[in-house]
Amino acid sequence: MTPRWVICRSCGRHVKAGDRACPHCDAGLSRLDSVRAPERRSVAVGRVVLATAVTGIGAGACGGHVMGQDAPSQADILGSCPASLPSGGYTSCVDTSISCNCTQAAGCTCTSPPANLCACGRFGECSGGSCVPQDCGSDSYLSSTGCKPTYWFEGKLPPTATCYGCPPLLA
Amino acid sequence: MNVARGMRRGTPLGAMLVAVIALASATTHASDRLQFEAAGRAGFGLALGNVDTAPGDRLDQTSPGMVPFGIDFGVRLQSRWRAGAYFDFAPAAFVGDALKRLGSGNAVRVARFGGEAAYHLRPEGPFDPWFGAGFGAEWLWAANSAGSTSLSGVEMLLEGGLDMPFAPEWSWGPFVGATFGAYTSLPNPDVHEWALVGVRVVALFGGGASAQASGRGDGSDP
Repeated sequence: MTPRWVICRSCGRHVKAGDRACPHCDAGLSRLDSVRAPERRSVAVGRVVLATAVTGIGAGACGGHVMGQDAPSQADILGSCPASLPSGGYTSCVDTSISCNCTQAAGCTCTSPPANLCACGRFGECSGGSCVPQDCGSDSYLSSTGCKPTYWFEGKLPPTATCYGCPPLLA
Repeated sequence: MNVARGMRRGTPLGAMLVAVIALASATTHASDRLQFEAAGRAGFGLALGNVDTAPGDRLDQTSPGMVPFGIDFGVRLQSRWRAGAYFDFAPAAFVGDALKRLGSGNAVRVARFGGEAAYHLRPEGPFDPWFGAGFGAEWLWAANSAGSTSLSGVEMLLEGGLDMPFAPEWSWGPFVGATFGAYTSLPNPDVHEWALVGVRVVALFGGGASAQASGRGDGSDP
């Protein structure tokens, strides 16, 4: 039969229930308050460990990244062009099949009214008749001051040859 | 008397002297409850979060993970409290995709060190859960065959584990942890994390004969 274990309040170690004295510190165990049950503490330990783990995992899952913090303004993209086209595009355009609101739009000649003619912002480009953010490539992003390298080491770490044994590229 | 006068004046020197004397006194009168601890650890660290605020500059684009090896030094007070320092070094962390695109000869190394305090829940038992927190610094080196560059910053550490004695004064067990850091050498640092998991081996020494009897691995405890 498995003995029942309790905790000696004097030294905090396990003793068999019913023992008259603690085998570790010789404290008397005849009084009811000289021992305590271990179960409650085990539950508390489990809760603390679980809470620590959950807190760590939960906090770790959140990167804290602020999206768009350094993004260009709408004015830098759209320039003098409207943000959205009138339904059906500009009927004054020669080719009404193109939703034209940019002067740069290929194949679109807007004749009147002159207000239809607009220019994208300094960081915008015309695509399909609308002003969109300019393409900075795969390793850069468009910031409020133009294209910037995405990765912190770009510009600090020179590129090298990509094949094994090739000499490094010279800048 | 001079020390007490220093404390009344609020001088740092007086406070430091009192702290040293108090620690020495505690060591003298309760040497059986003060032990030194050394631990070695190895594990895996998963990169999370962002290096800086540039969209897409995630830490895993530089290094998705690392295999750090570390050592801890500290003191144990009354078996339960631990205070000390940690040193971790990953000599060959995994290389991220963005770094690989720069070319050949890529390498990433990560080093971390700091101070930590921990609490052991059942130091006398066969399974001793512990949890702790600390602050420290982190360095990350990135290199290819043409050059190298580095980042440095600060970090907060949260971790916990389970120590299991396997010999007198020796124990081993798993640990999990997470660091929350920022590379403050960058102009726009963001928060990144290392999720850590691994195994450590711990040796306790000092504290006299009563430390031997403090019960680590004592078969009388269930």
